[in-house]
Amino acid sequence: MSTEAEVTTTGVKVELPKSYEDIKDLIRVDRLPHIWCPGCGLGILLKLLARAIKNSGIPIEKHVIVTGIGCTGRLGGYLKLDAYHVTHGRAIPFAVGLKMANPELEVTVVGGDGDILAIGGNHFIHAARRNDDINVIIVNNFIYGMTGGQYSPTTPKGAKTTTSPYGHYENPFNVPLLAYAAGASYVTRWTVLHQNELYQSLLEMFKVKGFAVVEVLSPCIIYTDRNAMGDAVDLMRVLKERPVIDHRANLADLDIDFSMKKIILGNFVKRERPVSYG
Amino acid sequence: MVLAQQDEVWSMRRLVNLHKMKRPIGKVIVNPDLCKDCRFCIEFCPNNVLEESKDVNIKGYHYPVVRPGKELDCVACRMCEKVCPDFAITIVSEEYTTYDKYYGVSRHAHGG
Repeated sequence: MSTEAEVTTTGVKVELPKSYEDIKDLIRVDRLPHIWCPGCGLGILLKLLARAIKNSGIPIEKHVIVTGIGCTGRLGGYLKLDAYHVTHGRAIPFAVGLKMANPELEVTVVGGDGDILAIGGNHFIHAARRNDDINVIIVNNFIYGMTGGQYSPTTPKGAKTTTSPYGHYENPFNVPLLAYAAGASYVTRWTVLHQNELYQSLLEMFKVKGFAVVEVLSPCIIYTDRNAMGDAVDLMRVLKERPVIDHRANLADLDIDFSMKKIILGNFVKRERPVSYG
Repeated sequence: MVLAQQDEVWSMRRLVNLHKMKRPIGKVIVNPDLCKDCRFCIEFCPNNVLEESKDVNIKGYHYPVVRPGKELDCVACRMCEKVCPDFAITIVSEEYTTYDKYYGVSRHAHGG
């Protein structure tokens, strides 16, 4: 079908290469090249998520992607799946409703740090408390990228953003600790560079019965621009060199500060709790 | 002193079947119109095979090309393919080279 070159909306003839043959029926080739900035990690997550959905063992008709507002909200539009694009922060309640109405569905919420933790923060902790059987992927790029670089709940202390030009003075969220404390069944954190590990945890996420949270650290050129950290490549180099993989790390130590000297990755939590819905 | 001895030992040691050992040669295929010049592939290539082109694509971005003289250096590890967010780069590896042919016999046989 998409082996022949397709003319996209931008007038570019696009042919997916041979190595993407396994996911060519999941990617909307006519929409490529996608709208994300050069240096954004979301394209990598799109590939991995499509591969994980393909190899999850669950039929593609049963998969649903729900996205909120933001750069990450565009992710559903590039997948040939049932994808819903809902209001800001309300992706999780929408997904819970889908799961209640039809428990056979495998509902995945993909959202940014601002979408899920700031505007939808209340929904996030209460879905985790109820342990609803949905999957949440939080793409953490430390900033509101699409709207021009306002600080988000995960912006490290001291970072300069549009709304904190002299340095941010609030403490950020520790996302794995928050998810664990609220009651999530499965909590992991990876970067877009740790692709094999991230892929494995995405596969695991579909199997887990309960609220699964995957935090994905992703570079953002808006964040690096505001903080004079160079290009997205420089942040990607930091994400390559600094992280330490420690599956048994104390969850209280997982804060990421502005210097990014200590980034701990791993599959932190996997436990069984009673599931409310689904 | 110890180091010198080790060097001698290593120069004597050589895999018996080295002339039979093969490694893949990767062929880099870039779709220039999808590239957005994020430089991830250039940065993360372990053999430093890629560089920015002098030309631009229809949107004005410089896309990756193979560095001149490094055509045989790609070992098809597919790292560039993995880190590319834009589906723009892919590696085809159908040919193989033997170590003797690529590195020269003397370098491996006599320790460089």
